[in-house]
Amino acid sequence: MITIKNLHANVEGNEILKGLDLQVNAGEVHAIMGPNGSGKSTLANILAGNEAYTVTEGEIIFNGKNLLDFAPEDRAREGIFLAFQYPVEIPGVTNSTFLKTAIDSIRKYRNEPEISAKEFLARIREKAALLEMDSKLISRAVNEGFSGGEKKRNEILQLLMLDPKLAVLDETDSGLDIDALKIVSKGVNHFRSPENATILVTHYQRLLDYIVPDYVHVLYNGKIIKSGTKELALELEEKGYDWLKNDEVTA
Amino acid sequence: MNNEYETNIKFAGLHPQWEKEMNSGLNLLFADERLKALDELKTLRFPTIKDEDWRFTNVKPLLNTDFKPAVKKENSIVAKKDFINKYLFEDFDYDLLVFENGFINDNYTKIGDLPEGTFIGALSEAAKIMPEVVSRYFNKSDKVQDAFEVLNKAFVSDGLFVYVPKNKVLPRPLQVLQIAGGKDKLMVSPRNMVVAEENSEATVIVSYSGVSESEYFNNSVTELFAKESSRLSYVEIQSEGKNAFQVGGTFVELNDNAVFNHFEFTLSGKFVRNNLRAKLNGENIESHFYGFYIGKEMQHIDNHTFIDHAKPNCFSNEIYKGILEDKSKAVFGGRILVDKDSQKTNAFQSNKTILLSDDARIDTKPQLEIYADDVKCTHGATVGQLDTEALFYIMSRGISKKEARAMLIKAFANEVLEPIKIESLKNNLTERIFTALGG
Repeated sequence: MITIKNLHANVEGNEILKGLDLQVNAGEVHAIMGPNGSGKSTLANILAGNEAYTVTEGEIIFNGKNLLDFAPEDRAREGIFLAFQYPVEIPGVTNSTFLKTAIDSIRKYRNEPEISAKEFLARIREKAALLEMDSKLISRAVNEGFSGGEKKRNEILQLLMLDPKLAVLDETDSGLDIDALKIVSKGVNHFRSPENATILVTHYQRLLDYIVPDYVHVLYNGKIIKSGTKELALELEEKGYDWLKNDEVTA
Repeated sequence: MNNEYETNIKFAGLHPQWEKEMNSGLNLLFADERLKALDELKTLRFPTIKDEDWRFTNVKPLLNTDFKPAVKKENSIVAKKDFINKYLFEDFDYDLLVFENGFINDNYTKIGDLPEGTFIGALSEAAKIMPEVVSRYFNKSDKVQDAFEVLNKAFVSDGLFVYVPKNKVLPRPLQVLQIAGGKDKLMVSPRNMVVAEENSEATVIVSYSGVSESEYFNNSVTELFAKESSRLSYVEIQSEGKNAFQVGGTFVELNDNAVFNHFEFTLSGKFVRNNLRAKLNGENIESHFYGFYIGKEMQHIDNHTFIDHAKPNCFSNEIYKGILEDKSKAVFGGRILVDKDSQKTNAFQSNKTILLSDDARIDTKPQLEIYADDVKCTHGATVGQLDTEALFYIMSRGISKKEARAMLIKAFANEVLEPIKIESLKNNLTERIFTALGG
């Protein structure tokens, strides 16, 4: 689905990614772990096209297309979704208007007709129920006055409504209590299918108890320094990152 | 003799020349007021940038232009139906008055059934029908000596007059179009008055608009009276022509238990200066003052407001927001005065501006003068750019940059649009804000 080769990227002149390689296939869930400042959020933002980050070298091929040629809105239309670490509040624009506008923009790009109000309503109610969201939140302004947990749930609601090919979840578990974490995980597991893929960016292992990854990668100092299966996450939980950092120095 | 005085003489000198025409068909009440104003004008000085309240707004280009007073109906432009439609708000039931260069065009007047004793129409007409009411309120709002206000009085042509008697409710919002322009460089001097008597209710929407490229000077004065327990909403929309000058004085007097909403939307015009002065002359008044301004190209928009808490136990909430592009400039001066006996005052003020270009500029100056000790007063001002992180968030959902920008602008304007109770007016204004910003 997506192939990242030798990716180098800067933010405000500082090189954050220094030759990252990653291959994610349909049906897979990959967890990217690593200490603060290793470049995890940078990777997530670059995939979605955040212009605050500059790619200086390397390529990203998404379903045969050069992703770096696409503007953020076109990446979304091609099937990329980023669940934000810090979702933005948009007063005056209701959740339902926002989502319907997004769905119709994506559909228009794909030469599909707009979603009917009836179908939209049925879908949003179903997804909100799955995420145990108060239906009042649907008619409220996007994220305005939402609690931290509500904002994260709202990100997953958007994920389920837009139904992308590749979901990138940036620290979706941060700031969640255990109940909220379970609900958010339920949403992501509901999304998982053989046709789509997920990249989970996190620095806690606990999320992976609920969303079980096929692969775990350790990102450190702008590169993936170790890859493995879900057991790697448990090992990291136990030993921290230091033993890997030493590996990297001697490698 | 300095320049400002010469300017006064220039305007005063214009008067005898037009006096005869000005009095034709109008009530003598105005003739007397005008002559008095003329004398005053000779001794008053127009402000300069040395005056604190005019530091950032230079009126020289305005005073140096030779404007000719719009003194008779024949001078008026005749607005076409499609022009009228462009500035009308639709999809709700309303009454309508249209003024052209300060004079009413009765062809467009649309007024349905009104409660007994209610008047909606031209000030000149009201002066004939209810002279005692007009005299009771004309020029009676709390004012300071202001050369522009006196200039308006000296050349007043006509204006809007709304009178809602005790316990009556205007059944429909009133829409008023004040259209200006034409080939001659005209100075238009409309005088608008709304009187909401005890326990009455009214909503008035006044739109100023200009004919295409023409250069004119709209020197308007509005006096609003909300008596005991009345509920008055006054919405002003300034969509002046791109070469237009506007100085708008709004003088508000509120009494016990009044609920008052004022909206000021400035969407176009080359030079706009608004002077809003509200006296909370009673207890338990709830008042809201909302402003939204859009600046483009070389536009200059100045809002100066003065909220006078003259009595205890009142609430005032003032929110002015703006978006500036290109080389436009805005000024906000917000003064709140709390008298020493005005205990339990709640006064809030905020001014927020988004600059969309490096060359746009805002000068903002809040001024709180509090002489009472048991009050709650806050003020704040911010200046920033459109949030790029928010823009990215919206675009990352597949929404175009253009639409994302529109959403953020809507989000920003929401605070001043949300309080508008007429849903279609709110939506329509939102659209106009986008259009004014180039979609």
